Amino acid sequence: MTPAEATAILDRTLPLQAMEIDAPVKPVETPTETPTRIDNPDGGDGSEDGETDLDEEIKRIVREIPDPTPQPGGE
Amino acid sequence: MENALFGTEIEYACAGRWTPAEAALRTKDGVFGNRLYGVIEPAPREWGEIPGNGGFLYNGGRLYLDSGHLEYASPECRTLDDLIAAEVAGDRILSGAVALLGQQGSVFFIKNNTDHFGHTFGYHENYCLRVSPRSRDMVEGLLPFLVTRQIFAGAGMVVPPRRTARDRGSAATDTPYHLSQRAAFVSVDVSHRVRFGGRPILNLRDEPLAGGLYRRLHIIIGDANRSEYTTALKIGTTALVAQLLELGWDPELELENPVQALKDISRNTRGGWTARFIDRGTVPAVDVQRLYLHEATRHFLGRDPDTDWVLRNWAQVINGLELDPLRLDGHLDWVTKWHQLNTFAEQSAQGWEDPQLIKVDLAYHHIEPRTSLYESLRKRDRVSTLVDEQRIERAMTEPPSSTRAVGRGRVIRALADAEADMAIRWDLLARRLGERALWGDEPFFIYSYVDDWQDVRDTGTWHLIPYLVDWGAVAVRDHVLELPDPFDTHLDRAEQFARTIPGLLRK
Repeated sequence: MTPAEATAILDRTLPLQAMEIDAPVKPVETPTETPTRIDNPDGGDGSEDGETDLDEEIKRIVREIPDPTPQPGGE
Repeated sequence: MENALFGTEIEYACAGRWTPAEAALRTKDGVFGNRLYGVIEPAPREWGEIPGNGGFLYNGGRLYLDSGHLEYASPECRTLDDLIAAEVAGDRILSGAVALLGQQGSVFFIKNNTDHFGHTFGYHENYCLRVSPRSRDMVEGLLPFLVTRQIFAGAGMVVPPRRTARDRGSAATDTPYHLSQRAAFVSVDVSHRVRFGGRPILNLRDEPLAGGLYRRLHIIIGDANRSEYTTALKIGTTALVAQLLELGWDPELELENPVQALKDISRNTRGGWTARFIDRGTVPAVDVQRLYLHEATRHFLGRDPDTDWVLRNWAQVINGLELDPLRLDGHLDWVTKWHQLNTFAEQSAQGWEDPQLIKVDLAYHHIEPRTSLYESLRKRDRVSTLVDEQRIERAMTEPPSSTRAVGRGRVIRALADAEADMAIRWDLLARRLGERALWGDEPFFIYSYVDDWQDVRDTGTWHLIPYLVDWGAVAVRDHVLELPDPFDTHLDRAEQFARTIPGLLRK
């Protein structure tokens, strides 16, 4: 990519699709879709029962794990 | 991934019936006791490591105590699924040791980067380079990428109530939540140090741990992710960017204030992130990422499956972040955790001010399946996973297939089979650096640390240190197997060396 092309991308105010057309010299398989949100198979399609189960499980976990504990500074 | 080699280091937090330091020490002993997952090392090492401070694992990685934390360094990996399997295997090794010690449900390890009391601990990334990571072009080329990478790589963090309103979070959402766990603790852009004198975005340590051809890029700004998808994207994109910069590509971007930009982006959970650049003014963070993506696509598309996976998902995630970040639930850690926190807050009379939110945050990062919010989501297929359970289980004791970790792992296994640790004369080894030790009736100072096997040879101390394992070599009683090229398995020579170990230990 030349500096001029880079500048064009950075300075652009065009919508996403226009940018995709302006993109690289080499033919590029640039997907335009976004990852889909993951459904909950336990609850079928993310049903209320599944959510309730998860809510209850989170409450149990919060009860069972220790309170926040100061740690040594690392690295 | 072609021409790439990477690994990570994770400092775990710990809570429960033991203090964090005690839990780290006892769990480390559980890992190496009975040679369960590897062998203990007798040599005192640099950075204050006393004899027995850690050891190497059958999977080619290393586990050791560092700054009061238990730290796991993954073996060198050449593919993203190897890296993911190796990282998760580290979690499982700790859980296995805790169970062996009978402390399941009492001692808990947490894979994150802050205790919410103002302390941070590291997640470090290592990338093999053929040019210096200290060059001006490499440093300047990396900074805009790293500062904006957190929009997909951040692990997310609830900000404790005592912080000031400005520090607590996004004005747009008023949720006390940051994208990154590490950004708030960074105070300089680059430094040779990792902690004292200012924690940097980019650490300039150049300790190759490999033969003369290779150098090591050491990045310490990253968060410890639970999401396999996020981890793969973080490591994969960074590996590609490092390769672009090695080729001499210059993004021609210079941030006006990298540290401030890092913190400003982290505080914004609504999206629409921007940063200010010299001569360019304000630029959206997604466009900065696109600049790198497009150059990487132009150079590397079609090269190998990992590269294509990264390019495709990098593009998809940038698009998603631009349109609606919250759609990336189940893919990106900071988004996934935000949804769970928000649901919890909506059911609380105190909303986002509920102090229990910090426990929900921590629960996401717990590694024990019964007490891990992330594992609860994984069990329900609510998060995107890349490796299966069998692969993770194998990675607990088997090295990745295509790096020098294979040769190292073979020798570690042979040392364990020969019960090499029984040859260590702990009674003659100084347990503290500089402490007086005895050899017969003669007291002497054991020298401060062993840099490599040549120190042991030069000082004639094989009677104290019967074997020594390093990333680049293994030595047993003055016999050395060097592993200089990290891209080579060294398997044939390792097999030959392994067969000599019982005899060498009897000398």
